[in-house]
Amino acid sequence: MLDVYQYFKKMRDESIILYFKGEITNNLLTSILQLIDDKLERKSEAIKTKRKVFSILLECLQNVYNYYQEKEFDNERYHSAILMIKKTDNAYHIVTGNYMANTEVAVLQNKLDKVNSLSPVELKAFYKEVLNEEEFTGSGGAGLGIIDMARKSGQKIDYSFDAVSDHHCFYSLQVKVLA
Amino acid sequence: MENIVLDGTGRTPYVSFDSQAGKLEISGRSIPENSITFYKPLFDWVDNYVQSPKDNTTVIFNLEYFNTSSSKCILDLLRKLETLKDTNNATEIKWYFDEGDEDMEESGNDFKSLINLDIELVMK
Repeated sequence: MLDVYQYFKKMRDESIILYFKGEITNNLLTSILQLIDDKLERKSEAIKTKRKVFSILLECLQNVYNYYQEKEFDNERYHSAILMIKKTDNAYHIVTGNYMANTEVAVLQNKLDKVNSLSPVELKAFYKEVLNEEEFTGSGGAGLGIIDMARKSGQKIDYSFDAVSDHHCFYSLQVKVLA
Repeated sequence: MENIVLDGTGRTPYVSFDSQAGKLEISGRSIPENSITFYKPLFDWVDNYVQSPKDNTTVIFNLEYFNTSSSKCILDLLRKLETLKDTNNATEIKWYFDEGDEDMEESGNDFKSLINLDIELVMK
């Protein structure tokens, strides 16, 4: 028998609010947002904190969802993603992870490094510049989403790319909201 | 022209565009997967409306959440309304935000600085 209690205790001790692994479909995205909305509603956090957590989660999930819509990887294994929200003493952590083609890493990493190098004032200006000029793709464009997350978080975005195969890697993203 | 009234959902906002009253309102959550599909009919309506607008137009944004793909649509909608200024039609735009929701207040300021129309920020 699987030791369910061990799993339970581990998740409890790490203050995991939500944990999901699998394919993120549009219906599931709606359900996850509703679930986290209910959970946040019951917490006694400031409204700005709740709104930040929800907004960042939303952008993260839509990024992952849109990415898989565009890619349609042959190998079903690569459709799976991970989502986790946990609360530590002073912050909420929104964590996502998904497979990605190695060829796309450089562009994304440049965007992440750029937002991480900017001050809040510079981020605001950069957000407005991209909002004003970016060609509209319908799904928003990952650029604006990353800038928005960085702005709302007010913290550096943590990320990593773990090698999986010659063609794929696993892209992990962790965004913090101070509570 | 026909008015637009859309009920809000968990992902899309309540919309009421009333040409007789000169009142446009978008409220709730604008977090659709593909915002352009949602906003296209609203763009078309505004394109028509600005051809023969009321003397006074009131525009209300009362949003709880919007995603970055909607932010581009909101900006485009506001750009279309700038025409009203060119034709000297009075336009009142109100951007509501909940007390303490500093990001929504900031967003109102962002739009205000990007368009050539005044936006009044109103704390609820």
